[in-house]
Amino acid sequence: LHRRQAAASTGDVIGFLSFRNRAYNLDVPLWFIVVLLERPAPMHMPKQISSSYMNERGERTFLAKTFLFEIIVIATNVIGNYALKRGLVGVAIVESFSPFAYVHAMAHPWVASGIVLLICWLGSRLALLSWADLTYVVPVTSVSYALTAVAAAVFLGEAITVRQWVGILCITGGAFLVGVTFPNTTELPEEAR
Amino acid sequence: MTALLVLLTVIPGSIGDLLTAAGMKRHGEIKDWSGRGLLRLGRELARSPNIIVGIVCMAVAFFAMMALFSTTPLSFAAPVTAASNILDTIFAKYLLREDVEWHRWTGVSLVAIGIALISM
Repeated sequence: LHRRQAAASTGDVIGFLSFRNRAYNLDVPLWFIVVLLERPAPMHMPKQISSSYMNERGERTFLAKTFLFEIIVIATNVIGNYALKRGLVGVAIVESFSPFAYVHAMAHPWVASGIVLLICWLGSRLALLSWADLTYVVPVTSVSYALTAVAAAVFLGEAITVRQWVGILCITGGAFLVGVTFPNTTELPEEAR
Repeated sequence: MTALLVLLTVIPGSIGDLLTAAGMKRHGEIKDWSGRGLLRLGRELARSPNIIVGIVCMAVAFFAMMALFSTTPLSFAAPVTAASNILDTIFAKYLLREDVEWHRWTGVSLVAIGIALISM
């Protein structure tokens, strides 16, 4: 795929892709994003996805579309959760079951934009699920957990512990492994052909 | 109480994922990205029982998870949310008939371990 042919420059880029967290004097390498963006194309297309459905060009478009939606799902999740968290810290809901506390919190701009982004997350995830397997979508979009930890380090100044780095490594490796499989392994419904 | 919250987090979460995936699979790949097409899609999805019940299940799981996080230590609550990844995979394999080969099993297990480690 064209977007993956830039692999030669990856090594040069990695060195620059790190944020310095001033509060903790900590380098936050973002190598795992590069690993995920540069993963190789899926190894094989299952036989049941017949060639009548997809020629080579169709397959390329299909994979590019899947990749684009993965990024939208991950980004809206991470940014939406960040906005929500930031807004809710500002509002400081008193622990109560009063609905007024929630309505009041929703009026906060950070909370409102968080909710809008999470609605976008739900929509893009549903769209992705319309053509990709659940066992593909769930692990691949779990990168958002890793990015949330990194976002907390970069923007909120929270430290990332060694254990969390191991977790980020596991998530990246897992998402990479799933990402090299073909997104769809089930027979497509008639009307989708 | 805690056990109930764990069950309410994991099981409706996975059932919600399963139902929304089934609903979208039944609809088929979205191809019409025009405003009118998306409007029609929205109307169709709003009438689909799979999607409605699926989203309600996801909401139940979300609020149960919030309650779990506020009543138990994080080191207990976090691995619980990772377990739903594994349950999702089992549901998808046996109910959605997805072809879950070793890449995906290994991948989803690594991701589950990673989520547990990262949020503990």
